[in-house]
Amino acid sequence: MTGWWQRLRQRPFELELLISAGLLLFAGLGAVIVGRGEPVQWVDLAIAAAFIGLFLSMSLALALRGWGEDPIMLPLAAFLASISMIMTRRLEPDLALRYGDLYGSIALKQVIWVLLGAIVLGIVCFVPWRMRWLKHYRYSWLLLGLGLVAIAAVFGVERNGARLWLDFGPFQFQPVEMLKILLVVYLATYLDARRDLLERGAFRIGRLALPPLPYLLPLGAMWGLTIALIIIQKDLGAALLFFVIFLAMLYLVTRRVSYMMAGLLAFAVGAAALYPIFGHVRVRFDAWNNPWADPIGGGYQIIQSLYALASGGWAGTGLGMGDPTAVPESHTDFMFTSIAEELGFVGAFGILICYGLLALRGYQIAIQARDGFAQLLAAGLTTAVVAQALIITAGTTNLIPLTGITLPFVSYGGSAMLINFAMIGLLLRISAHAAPAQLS
Amino acid sequence: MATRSVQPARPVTISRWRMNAVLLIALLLLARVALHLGYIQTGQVKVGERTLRDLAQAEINQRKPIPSNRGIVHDREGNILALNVDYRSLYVDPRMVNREAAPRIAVVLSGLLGMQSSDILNKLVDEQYHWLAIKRWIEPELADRVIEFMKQDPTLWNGMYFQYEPRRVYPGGAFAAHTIGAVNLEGVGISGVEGYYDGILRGSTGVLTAEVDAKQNPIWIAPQEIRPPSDGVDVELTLDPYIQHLVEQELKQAVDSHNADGGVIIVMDVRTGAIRAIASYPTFDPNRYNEYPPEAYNINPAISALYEPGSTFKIITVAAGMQSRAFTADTQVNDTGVIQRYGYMLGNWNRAGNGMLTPGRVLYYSSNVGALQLAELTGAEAFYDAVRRFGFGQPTGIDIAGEGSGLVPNMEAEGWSPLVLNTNSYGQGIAVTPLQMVRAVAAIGNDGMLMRPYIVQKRCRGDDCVITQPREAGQVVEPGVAWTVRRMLVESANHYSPVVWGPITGDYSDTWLVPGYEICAKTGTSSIPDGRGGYDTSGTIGSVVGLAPAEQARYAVLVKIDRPRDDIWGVSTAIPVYQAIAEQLMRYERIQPNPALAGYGQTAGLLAAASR
Repeated sequence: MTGWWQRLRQRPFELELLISAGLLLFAGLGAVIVGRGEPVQWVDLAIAAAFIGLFLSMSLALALRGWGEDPIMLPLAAFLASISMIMTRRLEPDLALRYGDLYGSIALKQVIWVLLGAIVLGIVCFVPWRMRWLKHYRYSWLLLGLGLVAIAAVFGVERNGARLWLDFGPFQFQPVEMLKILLVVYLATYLDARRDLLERGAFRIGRLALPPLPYLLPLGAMWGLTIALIIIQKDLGAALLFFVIFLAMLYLVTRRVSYMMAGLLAFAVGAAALYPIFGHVRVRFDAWNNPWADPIGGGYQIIQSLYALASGGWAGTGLGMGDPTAVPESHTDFMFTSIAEELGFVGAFGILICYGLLALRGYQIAIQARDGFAQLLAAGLTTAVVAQALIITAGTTNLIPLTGITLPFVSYGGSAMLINFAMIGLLLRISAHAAPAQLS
Repeated sequence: MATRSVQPARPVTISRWRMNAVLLIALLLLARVALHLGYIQTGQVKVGERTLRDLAQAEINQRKPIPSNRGIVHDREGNILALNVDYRSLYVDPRMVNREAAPRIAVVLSGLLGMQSSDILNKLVDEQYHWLAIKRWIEPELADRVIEFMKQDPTLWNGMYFQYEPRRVYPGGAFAAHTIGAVNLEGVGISGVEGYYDGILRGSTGVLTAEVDAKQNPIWIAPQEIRPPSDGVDVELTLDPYIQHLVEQELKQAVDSHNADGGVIIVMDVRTGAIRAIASYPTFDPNRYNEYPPEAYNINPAISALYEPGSTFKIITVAAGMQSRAFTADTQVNDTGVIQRYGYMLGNWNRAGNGMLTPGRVLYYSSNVGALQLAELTGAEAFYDAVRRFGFGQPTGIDIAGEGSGLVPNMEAEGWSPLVLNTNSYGQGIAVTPLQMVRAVAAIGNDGMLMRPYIVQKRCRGDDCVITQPREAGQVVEPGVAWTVRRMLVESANHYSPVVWGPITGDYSDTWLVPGYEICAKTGTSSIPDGRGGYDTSGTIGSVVGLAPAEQARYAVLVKIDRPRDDIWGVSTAIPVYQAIAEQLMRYERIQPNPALAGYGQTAGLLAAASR
């Protein structure tokens, strides 16, 4: 086989970036271990080596296959996952000290999730499946997602007042994460098929053009069902995220800012309507509006987060030197705060830049994709990751009301990690412009 | 090829401008978050009148350290030697105290705590402090009563905090006090095992938040614990409670009855280097260590006090010479009682000669003249080499704080002369610690293998234990040499027997020191340097060091009595102590007595006291 060396040489950038991410992982783990004066846990370093080995070999395989996938996405995900593993490793002893042995092995679990996520990514990239399947079985996918969420709502385990998890013994699965990806697939299919109609508009009320009602109806119904399930599950973060994805994709198809405006207005009206009805909405809103009104109640979490951010300053307290676990949920929803406290504004800004790069590459992939469906899919997936990062970072800095969702690739959590990697895998597939035609 | 120009009904792809618009929105929103983050992290965000950073700092300042539970110290049988009792301390945050109620609080507390109410009042209103101790280490029952009382009128008690403050308690009092050591009021181990293992015994300190409640709720009684302390590691000592008790009793009795200044006894496991008993007298009570002069609890004489080993050192002289093949057990030297060397007259204790002596007889008669000739045969280089290999002149590495290293003359140093070798051969002009001496003799009992002595045999965090492995420190003499020296030391021991057995049996000839067993022993009388180059003539140190039993030796024992007032050689004070300990050890270890090893008036296995 000729040309393998050529192919390898065409893709040096990804390898370089991955090696940098790997070095950072070792440096971070080393800093945590040495900084805390703990004996070196070789298992940590072995795991790190396994992680780097997995990503490097994946990159080499991509290069050798030569389908021309995007070279930045994989290193970005690996970098963020490295940060995640370093931070969970650093938080584990403090969490175990403060909240008990429940958190005794989160670092190891997180590493396993990251490795599994990388494997999921590998499956999406390397198993020859046809992208068309996503289109053809769209209702199956959607019903599967909704079904899982419904099952979780009925049979799931309750945590923090929300019933989001399906219990599978040693690990718990959060179907909402799954729904995220399936919803994007469904929306991409549906919107692509009805692009003309939605774009042109059939009804006109004054200057406002509306698409034909029969086409808007199933869309609205699906969305309504989703939102309803989430309200029942009290998962505000996911509701907001789905809504943003929906609006972004609608805008891409229709070009109409008016739809977005109408959507945002609808959300505002919905939120205002929910405010007096749902206690948890009220608590979140009040805590955002003035956390100091109830500093040891509703505002506690956000105040602790602000304290942590403030004590971080420019350069942070140093890895392992802060007290990030003073903020409840420091390893999940408030992982960003933990990073900002210990690595400072500089470190947190670096994380934000990563999501910026992710957006840049993601929409670039969407622009270059070969048909409308692939474009919408890529844009929707990118929006899902970036919007989720935005919602939680803005929430933990009290820019918007806090909603409990994870920071993609960084927060502790298994199902989110798997789904995020699957999404990156899909983006890589879409970006594979040299892939055999029958697979795309 | 025909060109087909098809204008599709709709483009296959979506406008890149819309994509870019969405991207732009995403980037702008990310920038907005970054801006806000920077504002919070690096700007001066004000909350009311104070900046966010000040508030965060204040929050941190309210976190008080909670001491962790110090690890427990056990002996090898699991008896507790040091533990913690949950005393509680009453603290006040004067800024939170209700001013008008302060006098009443002071009166009530003074009644309960037995303190001057004016003192308490001063603390309650001293607003320059944020955290003041009203009284530390209140007994649990009393603390409960104070809390009971306070609960009746909680609003008056803003700003008062009870904090658990465990305190070190040594149930045995002075038992093994020098070994266990003491912990100061700050919870830091300052001597002994407490000092050496302070880091792991202490564990890591926790953090407690004294909560400033925005709602002015009375939450003084249960301060929110933020980070529980991580407890220290429990340690198990090699000390054997029975042997430790035995030696302490014997030592105290000997020191008291002979009106001596003090003394040391060490019992060491010959095979492993484990310390089974280590006693120094006078001792102290670590529970009240601060009532003693610092040297009482800071200095552990058994491991740090230097003394001239005197004739006990002849064991090393003989072993060193035989190991270097300078002489054999049959080599003879002429003991003339007094001998001239380099213009000095060196002599035996009684200046009487013993004629031609083998090394064994040199030990038997404790002949200085013989020993110095043996050392001359060995030569200074081989002699000092052996002395250092026996572990003299350097710390033994025992895991007790404050070990001394001793002084071995350096033949390359200025001021050294062959005369130094002569006096060193019988243990003068050389300084050792009792532990070094007993360890060197233990090596003779362990077929020449020197062991690192140790006192902690197990360290446990919960059920997770680390067991100390005995560590070899080098083969100092061959097993054959060690055996020969042991034979000589049995003869030597038997020579001292009449001190104990003469009064009992009426027979003052050599006999078995402990009937039924072969015991090794060598005595020594050390002069005490007066610090001006001469010797203090007002007293001596009498010591005995040996092995029990001689073969398959279990224990090396050292008895050292400082300045017994009624015994200028110290030997007749130390020998009975050594004899009693060896006797008890044989019984305790249930070693079968050999009926053949009994002299006139003795019964194998029967104690000297019972034979009376």
